[in-house]
Amino acid sequence: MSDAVASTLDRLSHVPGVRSALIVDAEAGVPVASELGMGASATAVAALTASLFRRTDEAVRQAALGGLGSFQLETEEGHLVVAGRRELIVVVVADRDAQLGLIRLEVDRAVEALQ
Amino acid sequence: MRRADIARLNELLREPMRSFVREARARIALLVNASGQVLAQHGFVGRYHVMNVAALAAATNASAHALAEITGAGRWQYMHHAGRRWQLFLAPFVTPAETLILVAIFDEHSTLGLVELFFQKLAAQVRALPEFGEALPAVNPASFEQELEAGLDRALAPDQPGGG
Amino acid sequence: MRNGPGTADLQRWSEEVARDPGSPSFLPLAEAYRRMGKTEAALRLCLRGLERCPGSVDGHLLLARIYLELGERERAADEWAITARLDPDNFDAHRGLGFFHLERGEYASAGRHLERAALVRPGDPAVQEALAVLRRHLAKSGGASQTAAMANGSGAPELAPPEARNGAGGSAPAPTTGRVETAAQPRVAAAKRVETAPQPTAPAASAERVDEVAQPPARAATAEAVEAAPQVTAAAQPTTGTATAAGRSPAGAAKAPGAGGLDPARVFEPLSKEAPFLGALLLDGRGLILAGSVRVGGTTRSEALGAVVGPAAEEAARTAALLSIGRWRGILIETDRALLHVAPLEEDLLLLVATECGTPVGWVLRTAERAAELARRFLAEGVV
Repeated sequence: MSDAVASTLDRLSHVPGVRSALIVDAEAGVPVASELGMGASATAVAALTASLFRRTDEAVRQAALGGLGSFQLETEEGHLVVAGRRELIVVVVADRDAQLGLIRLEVDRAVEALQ
Repeated sequence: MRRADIARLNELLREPMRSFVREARARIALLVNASGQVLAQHGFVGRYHVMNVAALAAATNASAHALAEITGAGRWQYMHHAGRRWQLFLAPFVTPAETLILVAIFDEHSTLGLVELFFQKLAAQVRALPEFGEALPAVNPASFEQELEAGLDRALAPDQPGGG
Repeated sequence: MRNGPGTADLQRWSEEVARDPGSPSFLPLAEAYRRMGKTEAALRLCLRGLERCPGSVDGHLLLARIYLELGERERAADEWAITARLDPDNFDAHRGLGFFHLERGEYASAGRHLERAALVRPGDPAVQEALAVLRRHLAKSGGASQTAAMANGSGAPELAPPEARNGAGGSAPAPTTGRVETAAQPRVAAAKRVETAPQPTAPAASAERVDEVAQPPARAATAEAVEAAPQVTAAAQPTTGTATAAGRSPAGAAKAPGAGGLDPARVFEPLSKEAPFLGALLLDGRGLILAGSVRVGGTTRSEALGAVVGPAAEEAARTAALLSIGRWRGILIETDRALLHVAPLEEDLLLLVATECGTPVGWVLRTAERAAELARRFLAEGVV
């Protein structure tokens, strides 16, 4: 498991435009592993993205749309890509002009690798 | 041990505690000093529960601190109990005046990570208060009981149904 | 014989609430405090309990009662509206809203709620009395009063039940029919969203809330007040008598001046020709639908999505702010059954676009931009 986590993070953090990549325990909202950019706080990113993931998952279930697979939050200064199933989620913080298609591909691979 | 300015401290700490509870989505929160004196609380109704939790929090802090020292583990950071429905977070933080302990109880609407994140923010806010910026003078042990009671009364009075 | 809760009951409830503020015991405890005259304490207990149990119908009804006692009628109405959303056949909520609107001279809304209440409890004398007065008033004033009654509310006309339009008495077979024509003031009128009820027994989601438009001064909810209500000149076109078909926005239905003829349900219709598009919703800050609809798997999901998207969007905004990554611009959500895009539009409005699973993301984003243009046009044309 730790090899899978380490190599997953390594691949993600090397995608152009990725500032930080984390594997997060969705239930506890704590980081399992992380590769962080400057100024980033693993605690904050893990806690907030896990909370957002859980809330969004809850929302889509209440709307009878099944479970949440992933979400992508676009902000003025970047993107937050989060994907996973229940226990572990993959979180990427990316620059505004990052290649999102590539990031999404790697995130999906990461989720598969962690299953 | 806290001097007899509990009323003012309760007021000062009210907003930081409310903010913590709101942001972290905790259900109950209690801030005590290392002697078990209640400085602020949110979500409790009965004195009985506050007293018990405050005393146990202070004792837990003392035990964990001693354990950390004996084992050379350094300063202990937090204790987390993940119950089936409820979770407990207990963590100390040091101010120039004294060590304070936060107890937070939360359910499935929050996470350990969120509680820890906003605990750090609460700690920073409290440290920034002038009332916690200087070391306290020693307190007369004879007034210990009186100050404990004063802390409880103030913590429970303003926002509680019984105080209507 | 004990007339109310004893000390032991109060103690037990207090302990249960202390252990768990969301415990059902908050209800009897808050009620006990209310009866003791400790209204503020009852209010705090109720608010705290409802934070944990937002779906508690009894909790919202109790809160409404407390607000009434505190003289906060609009907040009481909000609570009744929430109750009606949670429990569409709730008598107390519809009665409360009926009298609230009656006080304010909003006869169409009053009639709708009172008729719904009468359906649930036909023998209630207060409701029957109010309905009788309302019908006499409407019958006396005839057609001008119909449109006046409709225009008296938020400024946006509504399709009143056919009985009210025809000035006839008797109970309505269906409490809510037709759609709300909100083109006049879509932001405001959308707070009064009416679902079609094709069958008399089909529960319609009468998720009506008091909106922020200036209302006529509150009057005592008495028959005299209804009788004495000023005659407002007709502002909207008369409705047709056939505008009762479920799910259809009838031709010639009443629209407010300056509406541009935009049916809020069809605002995003130009996008529906493209296969992956499942619908779009324009939502206000309270999660209420201003325009559009979404169907997933053949089932309308508009209300459910409207209710849940707001909190998720708030969480997204909070996350962006706390992580210091700038204001949020949109969130793309992949679920098992659909792909959703949610974005802030202006002020506190949200735009949601739903497409089939597997739709190319780029297409979704472009469609979202087109939907935003349609929404802006709808909002602009709807302002008088």
